[in-house]
Amino acid sequence: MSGMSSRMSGRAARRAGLPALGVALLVLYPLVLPLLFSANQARYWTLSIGSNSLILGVVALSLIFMSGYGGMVSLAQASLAGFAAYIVAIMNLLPSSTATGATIGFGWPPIPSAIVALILATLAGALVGAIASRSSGIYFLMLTLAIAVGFFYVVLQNYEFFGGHIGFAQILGPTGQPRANPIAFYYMCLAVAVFAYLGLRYLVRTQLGLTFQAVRDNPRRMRALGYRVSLHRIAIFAIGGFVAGLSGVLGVWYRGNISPGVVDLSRTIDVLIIAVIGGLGYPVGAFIGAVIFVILDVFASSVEVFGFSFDERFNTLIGLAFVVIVLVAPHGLVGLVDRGWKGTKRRLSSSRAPATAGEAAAGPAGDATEEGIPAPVDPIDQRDPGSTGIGNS
Amino acid sequence: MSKDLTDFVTVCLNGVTLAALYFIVASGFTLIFGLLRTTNMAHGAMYVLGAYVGVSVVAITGEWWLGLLAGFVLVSLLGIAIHLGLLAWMAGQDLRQALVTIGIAIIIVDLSLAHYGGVAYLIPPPELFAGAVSIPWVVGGQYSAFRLFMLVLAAAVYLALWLILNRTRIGMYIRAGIDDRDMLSALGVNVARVFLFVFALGAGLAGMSGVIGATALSITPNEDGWFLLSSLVVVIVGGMGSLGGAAIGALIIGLAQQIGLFYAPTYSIFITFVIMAGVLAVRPQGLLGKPA
Amino acid sequence: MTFATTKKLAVLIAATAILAAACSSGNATTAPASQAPADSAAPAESMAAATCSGKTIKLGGLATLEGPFAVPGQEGFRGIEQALNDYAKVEGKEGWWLGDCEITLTKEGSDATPAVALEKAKKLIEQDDVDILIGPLSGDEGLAMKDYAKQVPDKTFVNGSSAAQDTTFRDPAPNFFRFSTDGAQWQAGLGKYAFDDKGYKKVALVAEDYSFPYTQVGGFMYEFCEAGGKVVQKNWVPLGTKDYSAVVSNLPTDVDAIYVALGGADAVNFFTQYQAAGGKAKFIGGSITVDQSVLATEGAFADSLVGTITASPTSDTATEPAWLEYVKNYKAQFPDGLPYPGLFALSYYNETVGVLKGLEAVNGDLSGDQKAFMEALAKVTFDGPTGPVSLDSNRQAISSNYVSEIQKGADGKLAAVVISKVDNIPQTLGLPADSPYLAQPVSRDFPDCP
Repeated sequence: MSGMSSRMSGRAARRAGLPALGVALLVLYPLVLPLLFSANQARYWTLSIGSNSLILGVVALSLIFMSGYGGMVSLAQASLAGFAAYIVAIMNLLPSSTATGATIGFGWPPIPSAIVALILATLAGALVGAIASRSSGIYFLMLTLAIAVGFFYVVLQNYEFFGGHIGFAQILGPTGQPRANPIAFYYMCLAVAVFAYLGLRYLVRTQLGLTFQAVRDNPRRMRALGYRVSLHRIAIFAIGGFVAGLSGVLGVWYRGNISPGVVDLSRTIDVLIIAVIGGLGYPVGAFIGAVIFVILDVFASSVEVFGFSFDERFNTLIGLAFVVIVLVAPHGLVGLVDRGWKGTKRRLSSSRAPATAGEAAAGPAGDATEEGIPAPVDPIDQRDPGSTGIGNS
Repeated sequence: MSKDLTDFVTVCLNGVTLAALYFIVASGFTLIFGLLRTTNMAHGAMYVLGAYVGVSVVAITGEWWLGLLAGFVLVSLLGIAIHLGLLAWMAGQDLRQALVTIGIAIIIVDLSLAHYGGVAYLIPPPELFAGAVSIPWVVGGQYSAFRLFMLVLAAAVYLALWLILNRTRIGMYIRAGIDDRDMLSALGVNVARVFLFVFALGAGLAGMSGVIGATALSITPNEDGWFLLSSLVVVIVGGMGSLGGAAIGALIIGLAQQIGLFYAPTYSIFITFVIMAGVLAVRPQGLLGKPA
Repeated sequence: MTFATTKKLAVLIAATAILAAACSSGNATTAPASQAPADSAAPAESMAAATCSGKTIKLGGLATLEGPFAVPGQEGFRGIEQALNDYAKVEGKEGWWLGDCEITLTKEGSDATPAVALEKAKKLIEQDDVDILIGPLSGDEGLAMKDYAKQVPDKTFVNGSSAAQDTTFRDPAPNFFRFSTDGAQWQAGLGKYAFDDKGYKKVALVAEDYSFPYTQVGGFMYEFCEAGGKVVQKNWVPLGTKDYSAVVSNLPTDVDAIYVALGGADAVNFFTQYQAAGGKAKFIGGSITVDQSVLATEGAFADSLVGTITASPTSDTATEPAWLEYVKNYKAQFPDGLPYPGLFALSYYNETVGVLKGLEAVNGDLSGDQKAFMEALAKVTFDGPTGPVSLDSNRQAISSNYVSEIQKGADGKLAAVVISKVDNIPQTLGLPADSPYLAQPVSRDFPDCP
């Protein structure tokens, strides 16, 4: 929030050069791997670590976008991604009869299937928004959680459309089997991730993006000015649904199958954990959080601390790590480094005690003018909206 | 009486008794949320922990009521530790508090699994309420005595909370705090202590409901998610922070689940969430929640 | 992207690479020497001189360590380790050995969802570079593993305890082997016994609504319907249901018995609520419905289970010498294990024994994309703890099954007492290949004999 401005530290050349460096590193990543590992392991680091992190990063990005620019921490994002994945599967699979005798599958090629899936994910996002847009704050968090779990039970029980407990298998993306061509698959994920990241950064600078933030910061005033506040919230949801859908499409191509486990409560919480680890106020945090989460998830069972092996208690380790991060780095790891980077002057005066909701709301607006890039708000900082927050609007 | 009618009466009775359990679980959750604005995502984990405390205490002492008491006391002590050690430091940051409690829930559940394993435990009901009692109009003419007893327990919890809220000084502070927290501290009340009391009470209720749940149903470590969600849905439907809302929400959800399971089993769980979305679309603050 | 964040990204990538190097150095576990005294392992004879010539043979183990299947998952890993202890111990040496080649085991836990099982399998196969993967535990995970196996033809996949019929029955993978029987085979003998000996003509069923119970119900109904029995009502209960009282109310009273395919806590909940509602019917149990985890749960429902018939590939009360030996070794090696090794331990045990026999046949030689090894593995036969094990042309086990009845022992505890045992049960349960029962995959509505 209010600490954001000084990271926009100035020089235009740097601003242009460093993102390019970051992307260059990500482009080089799969090419360097074979120098470090066996072919088998290089494939693993390209797909299961690299691509998987990008895919999880995109869905976490949708959450960060909605929380940072819409002020809404939505737990429905994993479900929207899963919904898109199901649509890809249904469009892509050849027509076949399900266990209940219904026929499902359209046999479309991957890309048209993905386009349908993205359109429907956007609409589904808008629908969730229509249900949820009148709530806010922590109430909203719980509502979207309940929607997510409701969706899980639908796909678990429904065989006619969603294939029930087993789901659908053998779905291929445009690059074919990821294992057969890991680098192509990785670059596809990278391209989508960069597109989503830059697209959202562009969006928030447009007139529409600025309106989103104004609605976030002061819905009452915006309503008084004649804006349709809930329509704007629904639009944010639709965009969030689209971005989550991108992740879902890549995810189903990555796994080759889709089943209810992909939209269960654990996966829903995982997306939140990723966003929080990276930093809810930092779009780039989505990807950093995803990398850390994936590595923690893969290697937690091999961690030993003072001779105590976490191989069966890896969940305790993940839980502990999560609590510690929320305690010492409430703005995520990106926030921790970012704020540490700039010294403590501003922090002492503002962000440690973001005294009122009013100040929190005023902060980013001030930042935005400094450089022309509007800053997201980290909802961690937002105090209880109190009597105006619960069910306001 | 026709078969259809006895079926319906039985299913409704099932729903109402299940609602009694949901109400006891959700009452602590709604109380904490109402005053502290803390979404205790570890509420389900506290239910699980309370259930295991009950399992151990009843196994050692053979006394169901001691198990119930121990479940309440030990989990409320844990609640005090969590509140003093973690949540009080981030007062007002409701999202951060919710996140911390997610981490705590993961740890509690994993350690319960480590200690008790994944097998189901059952707490034997108190002698008086074991077995079935004869009542007319239900299928088979008999009904579980303990399930009927849960209705009494739920009523007792409701009454006790109502008395605390309406007939005691601290209850007056709590009600004042739910309406306007800033005003409460301006009046010179030690808000921190009131918060701690409420958090301990809410946690204790979660622990106690675990003992009741483990008697009526059974307990395994992975049940936390289900009871957290039930609490969420119940209080979202009923209205956050409202005791009466929790009771009405629990009734609606308990009945919907059992009627659904009887007449449309495939989507019985989903129905719960449809009801919730429907209520929210019409009344975002829940049925008895106070609008802003 | 801003200055600070980009720089951090670069740092993170560097850190990741370092971490990668650190982690790739391997986290395989070898057997702790204390865990298995070499002399307790009866069949352990030093295996023939191997041609793997000092290489390490890497096994990967995959089972469920979270959620309702956490205890079965631990049992699965015990099964793998016991097989290694029983067959691959060399006196005076730590660890497990085939000739002069060490065998290592790397374990990963899933949460019973196909997505996580697949990720963990990829980690074992690709990152840890295991040669042979043993797992997973549950049915839908197994189906996902079969699809993954097809993508990795140069590695060998051996089932854990997953028991979906179609993992091997329809469209099998050439490098996927299953030395354990499937969920339908686990019910072999039960339908006939219920109809012929118990005289149950009409039953209602209560089962969880997913593929494993479909398979179990299928195995029961193949025989029961074929014999002329009627299943008049099917209650498919959604996963996640805790309160079964509505289901209890829905059960008809004019049936001879109720077939129950629920596991663990769900079985406990159902039996408790059925008993509390005053229900009196006889039960027929699926393979995990009245297993130890349910029988060991103390509750008022226990007495109502006396007389319940069930079928399963293991029986606590079997008396064959091989079984007793196996139980003795299990108890010696895992003092903190269950009172008896259950079907999850046995399944993983048999899978691992199959692998070791196959390795023995090729002297540990996994060269040539494991083709010779896979050929040898398909031909492996051995006498397991419960009887002979061999594979059919789909690499699916043909093995033994028990029909048991729950009785109260002299000590007041419930136990499954063996009624009969049949060896060499094929996946078709003896139905002709063109039988209408085998024409469709099992599901909510199939088979059907109302």
